[in-house]
Amino acid sequence: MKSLKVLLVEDNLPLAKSTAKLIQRLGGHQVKLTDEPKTVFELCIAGEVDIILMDINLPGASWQGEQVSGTDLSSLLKNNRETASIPIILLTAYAMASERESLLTNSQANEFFAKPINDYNALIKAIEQLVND
Amino acid sequence: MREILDAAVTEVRAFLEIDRVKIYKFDEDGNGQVIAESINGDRLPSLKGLHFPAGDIPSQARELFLKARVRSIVDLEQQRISLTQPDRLPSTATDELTIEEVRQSSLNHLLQRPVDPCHVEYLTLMGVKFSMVVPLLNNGQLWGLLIAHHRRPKVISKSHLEIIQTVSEQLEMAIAHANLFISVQQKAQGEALINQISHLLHSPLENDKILPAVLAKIVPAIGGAGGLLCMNDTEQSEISCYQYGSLPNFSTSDWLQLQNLASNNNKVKVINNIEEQESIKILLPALKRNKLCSLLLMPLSYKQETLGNLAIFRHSIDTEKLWAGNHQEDERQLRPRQSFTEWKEHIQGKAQPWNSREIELIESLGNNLGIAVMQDRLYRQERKQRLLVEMQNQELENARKEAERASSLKSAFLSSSSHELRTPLASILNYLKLLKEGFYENEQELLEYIETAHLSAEHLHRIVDSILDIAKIEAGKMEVDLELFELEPLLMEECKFFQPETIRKDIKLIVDARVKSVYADKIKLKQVLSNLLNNAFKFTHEGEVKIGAITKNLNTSFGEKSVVEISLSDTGIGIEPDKQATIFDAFIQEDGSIRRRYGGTGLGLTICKQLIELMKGQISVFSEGRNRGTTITITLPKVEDK
Repeated sequence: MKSLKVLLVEDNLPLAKSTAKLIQRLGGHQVKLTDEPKTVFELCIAGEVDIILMDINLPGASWQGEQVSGTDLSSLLKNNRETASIPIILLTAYAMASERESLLTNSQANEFFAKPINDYNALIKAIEQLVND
Repeated sequence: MREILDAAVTEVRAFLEIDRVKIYKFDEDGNGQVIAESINGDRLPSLKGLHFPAGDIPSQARELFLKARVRSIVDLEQQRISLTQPDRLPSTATDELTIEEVRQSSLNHLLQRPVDPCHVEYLTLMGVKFSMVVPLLNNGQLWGLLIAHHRRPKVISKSHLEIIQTVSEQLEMAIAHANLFISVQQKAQGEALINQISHLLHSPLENDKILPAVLAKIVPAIGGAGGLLCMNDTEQSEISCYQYGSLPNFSTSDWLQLQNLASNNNKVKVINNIEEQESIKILLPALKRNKLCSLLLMPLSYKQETLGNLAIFRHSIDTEKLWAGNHQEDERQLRPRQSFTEWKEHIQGKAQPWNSREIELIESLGNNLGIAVMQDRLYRQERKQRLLVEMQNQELENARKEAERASSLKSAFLSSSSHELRTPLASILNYLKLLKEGFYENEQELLEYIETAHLSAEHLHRIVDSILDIAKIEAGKMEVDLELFELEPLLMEECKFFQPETIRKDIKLIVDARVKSVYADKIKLKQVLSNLLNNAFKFTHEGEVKIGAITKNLNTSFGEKSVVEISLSDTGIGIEPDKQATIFDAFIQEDGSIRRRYGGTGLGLTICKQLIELMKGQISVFSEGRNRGTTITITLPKVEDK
């Protein structure tokens, strides 16, 4: 299995670091961290990203002068010709099952995982499947 | 009417070829006035317009007129009196008779008496030798007299007498018609007035606008000088009085004295002369100063309920009356007066009595007024009930909205809580998993993982504590123990606690307490101040933090109020104006970058606000903007040292 380039967009640093470490060690994939929409676009356009794990709660994040959430950012990426093909998995601590459908529709993301992540193997499996599809 | 009478006297005089024919009309007092007259040149002096006192024609004589119809004294010297029925012998001697005797005795008996010597002298003084008197009746009452005088004795033939009798009957009919016409006219006027007032009463205005207008209409229409309308309020406790016209400035309680005079049976009480009313004695001088003399009192009621009273006052008047001779010189009328030359009597302060038509009108108006007031009262009660129901519905609706709002706030809080709890929990679980899987390169990394997991656990603990605090406050389970205590020692304690911080960050902490004591929960105020100072030091990188306390006077809608104002100012990062409104809401920090750089649960200020409000105080934030410092102001009620 080829090592994938995962981009984790998460504003809580301890959580981001530990999540990245677990994905690296359990799945053998490279994980880059950021919470800046600008960096997300730059890395995606530069071909540095195979898949994005996106926290939907990104307080303070802005893109082109507008406050954006992870959901907004996901939608922006999916509507950008250069980044549209990159699969996105939403991560959220707002674990409301009822919101799952509307979140996926609004963000146009491919998959949805609740935080805390109970089953890293399932997450890694989803990452690999989405990239290979 | 005038013309008919004038024509009648002229025709009768010409027909009888006689010196004087006049029509004499009785007034309410029994006095009379010559209202029509025809004289032959200057053979006899004119008496037109002159009044004659009641005593000139004693009541027995008047009773006799009703009984005997036409009577004439044909020759005064021979004392011959003739009647329409010629077989009867004449007499006008009345002085020893009573009215009862006149009524009981037969006409024959009455007429067989000689002419009263007093009457003989009376006629002689008038220069009259022949006199014929025809009573004019209206409604069975003596209305007036048709009188013929001649300087010389004269005999009137039977046929002439019969014609005169017929003329007098025609005159009576004309008088009856004229009176009927007047009363119909008055009735129409009365009805027009009632209509106008009904119209007013049913206009869509409030009663306190309608009633004065109604009063202003009734008083002049009834010939009153002033009117007063006192209405008991619905609750019976208050009385509203409306005044119209020239009335003294009495207080409501004075006017209420008048109400005692009113009758209890929906009937008008007529007082023609107020001076006779003992019970309103103390009101009399002022009423008399206003020349008020007569009074009408109409109780306003509907069924058994008394609604108020309508009082209408009339002025007394000063008049002049022309009498035929001064009859007051000899009040006993033992002898007839010696002269019939005009004598002018000045009558002062004469009451103007109310007549039956006016009384009837007022009764009718009073009934209408009572019904209208009752209707208005019922309408207002009904409206009050309706408003009450509407208000209750509105309250229920507000309560429902409030409950919905609280419920949605709770859901939002729950959702936020869940998120805020899950983030550190996810961190802890991640690090524990890293440790469990042995995913660390060296001991330093191992220690770092443990340390981070521990920090996250502590953070989680703080959030759980805060959430529990908020839940407790919102459930009303948080109790405050309010007491009066000295503020300065508390502030100094805080100073001491934050001293390491002032040294570490090189920020001064200044305390300026100009308030001796404060009424609050000591422990919870300390918790709030610690929290705020913690924020102040956290968000300030240079400069100073200052705590001040002053007494301040606030102008509230309940008047001036003293409060204790504690303010915490820093020279820190400040808050953008548009973020200041939500800064006290749960889980709100100014923005995410604040959270990343400064941490915190986002619940500190929420708890501060709730605690201060529990202590009956208020908390507010002010900042001129980014990097321009922040001031948090707490106001607590001022309670004086006992």
